[in-house]
Amino acid sequence: MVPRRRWLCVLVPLCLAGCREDEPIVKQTVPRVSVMQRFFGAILPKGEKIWFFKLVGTEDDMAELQEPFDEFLKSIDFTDPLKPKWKLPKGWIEEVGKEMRYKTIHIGPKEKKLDLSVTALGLEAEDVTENVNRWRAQIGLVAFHKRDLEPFLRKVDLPAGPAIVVDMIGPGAVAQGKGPPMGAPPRPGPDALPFKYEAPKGWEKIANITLSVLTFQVKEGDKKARVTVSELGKKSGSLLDNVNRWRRDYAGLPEINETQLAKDVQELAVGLESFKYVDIDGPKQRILGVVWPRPDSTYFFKMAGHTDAVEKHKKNFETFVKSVQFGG
Amino acid sequence: MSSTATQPGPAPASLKEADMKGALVPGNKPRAGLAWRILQICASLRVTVVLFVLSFLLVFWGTWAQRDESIWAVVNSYFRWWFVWIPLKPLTLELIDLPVYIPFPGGWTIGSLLMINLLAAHAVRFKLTWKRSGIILLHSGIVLMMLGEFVAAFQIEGRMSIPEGHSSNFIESDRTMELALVRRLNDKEQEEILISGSRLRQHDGKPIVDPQLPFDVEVVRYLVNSDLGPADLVSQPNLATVGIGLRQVAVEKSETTGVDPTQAVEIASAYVNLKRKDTGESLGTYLVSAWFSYLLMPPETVTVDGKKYDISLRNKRAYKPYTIHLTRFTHDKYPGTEIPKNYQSDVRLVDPTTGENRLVKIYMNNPLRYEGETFYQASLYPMGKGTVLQVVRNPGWLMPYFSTAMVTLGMLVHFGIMLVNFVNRRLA
Repeated sequence: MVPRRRWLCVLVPLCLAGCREDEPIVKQTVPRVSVMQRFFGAILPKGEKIWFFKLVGTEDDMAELQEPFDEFLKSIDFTDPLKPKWKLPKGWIEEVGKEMRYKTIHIGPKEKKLDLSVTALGLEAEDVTENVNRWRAQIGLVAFHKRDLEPFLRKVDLPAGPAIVVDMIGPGAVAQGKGPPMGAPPRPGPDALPFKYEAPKGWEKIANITLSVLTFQVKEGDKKARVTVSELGKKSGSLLDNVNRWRRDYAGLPEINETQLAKDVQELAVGLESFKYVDIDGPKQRILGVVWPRPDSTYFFKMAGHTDAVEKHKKNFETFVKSVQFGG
Repeated sequence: MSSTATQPGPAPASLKEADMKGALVPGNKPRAGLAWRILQICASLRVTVVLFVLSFLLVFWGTWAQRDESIWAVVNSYFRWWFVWIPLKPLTLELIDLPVYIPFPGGWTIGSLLMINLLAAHAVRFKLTWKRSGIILLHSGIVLMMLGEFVAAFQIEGRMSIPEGHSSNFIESDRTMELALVRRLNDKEQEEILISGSRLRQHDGKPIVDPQLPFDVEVVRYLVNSDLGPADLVSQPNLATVGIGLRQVAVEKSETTGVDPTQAVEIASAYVNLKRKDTGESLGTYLVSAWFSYLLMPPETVTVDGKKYDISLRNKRAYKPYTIHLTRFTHDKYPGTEIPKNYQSDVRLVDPTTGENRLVKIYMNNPLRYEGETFYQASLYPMGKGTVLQVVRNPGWLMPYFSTAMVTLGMLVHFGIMLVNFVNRRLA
């Protein structure tokens, strides 16, 4: 073989090896394990007032609402600058707002908690960056510098006047160190719980007592027990403090120390999380308690009452807690 | 094959002897035949020397190329590939900068040939004796080291970002991008159609056509590294005709080269013209940018034949059968300062395929190891409260340890035997 040809034998395969094929198009179906919150907002200055339109929901719900929200904004009529009117898309229901809120517009069923809020504030609230950063905090996002907010802001010339329209996605938790939203509705009451749940059959919902946001009464013959859900701030005390309070006040038992607590406490798996769960049977009452920490508060799920009623409904109590789903 | 094929040109006597040694080792009968001749060529010490020289040149030019290209671009084109076209600029140490490229064997080619050379040398020249045990052990260590580099090419390195209270089931690559068309099927599943970033980068003006794509994708421009600016302030022409690209323009930034001291992450953007498959009608030119993914901006939506697709340029994802849920993230600082003291992620690992369901605390020097992957606490979730975990999967992570141990042991054995022989000779 001639040497020159030998080199060709080496070079040609190398050249061929050097050609990379195009990576193929991939099509796949994958599970969705996390759904974020999406926020539509609009800031519309009119006369002596700044009008705020705000709609928050899950990504899935909001994906369908982008066009209706834009259409709603286009329909706003400020013939009376203090009482704007608009054309509601089909299925949207308007009601008078409370406190600082001018109107609340329910989108779909009320249980879905998908509400468009309309609030009017004075000219002191005209800073767009401040308002958008306040909204970012409400969906768990950090504040941005004015320059970095630019991509999120859409300047729109509505028939009612120029407006800033905002579209953002966030994890949904309230960011640390941020105050409550300006013009926000009052703290959720029993009719506006921040979580969904399924009450077991036979549980009777009754008026809330003391700090509870949800209360049920359960019966086993003439034996009764009460289920309460309470929300406390971050300074709600340690698990030991709360367990000792339950032992002392409800069960009629002496207090215990950390070592004993570690032996008594169990875990209750709820979805992908698990929470501290105690079962205290004392001479006064039997208590089942679940402590559910949230980013800004702690929820206490408790069943307290006659030991027979608690025993009978223990499984129902666990099922109830497992059914709870916070809205982000 | 002629004799010139095996020993071209004059060669030093020692090399010739070495080449022929295999055939002349006492006890080895001289063998004939094509296979044996080929083996002898492969085992040639000349080949070894040539391959070493080629290695030195490749490393030299590969290092020089990092003045213009990023480390990973050079690693992938020079070292982890078979063949490379080296530009004239690094070849001439930047004396000539012309668009001329010289073909050169890549790292995989040289590495494979060196491996063949080494194994052939053992088949031809070396005998399995105690006297040679050190050399054999040493060479086995080198073979393992070279195999380790091949395995390392399949290493996965990425990150998993999880906001508090949320879950994740995918790892994002740090360096590779993909254009994702995502359609939500129901609450639990979504369909994804993916075009790799390398394919977007190699665009030639022709649309990407594939039966799996709902529309044809013409890459108008791809920017490996970019910044965003308001359309009314940026002076360059805006290529976008719809969507957020009307308000924001992607501006090209130079790639992060291997010698850049900041080693800033490159953030890609692209302008893509989407065309209907049936009529070729344009659905609009969209700006897609990794910036939008990082900033958590809602994706652009394109509707075709009643199906809605979210279109985004994102870091390439590798989905896992397990889910990691972040229950709590703590970020302790030294009192009175902003200096981080400790990051900790309390996560729940759930794998329906194995029944795994456990709580894990991930913090510095306490990673989670699961299914061959290691999750290290890396950073804070940049957009809110949450965590960023660095994920590494390196199936060959033990190979460098074993190989260097074998080389060290081989040298000790070899020089030990030599020393004993020397002492024995002196005593005799």
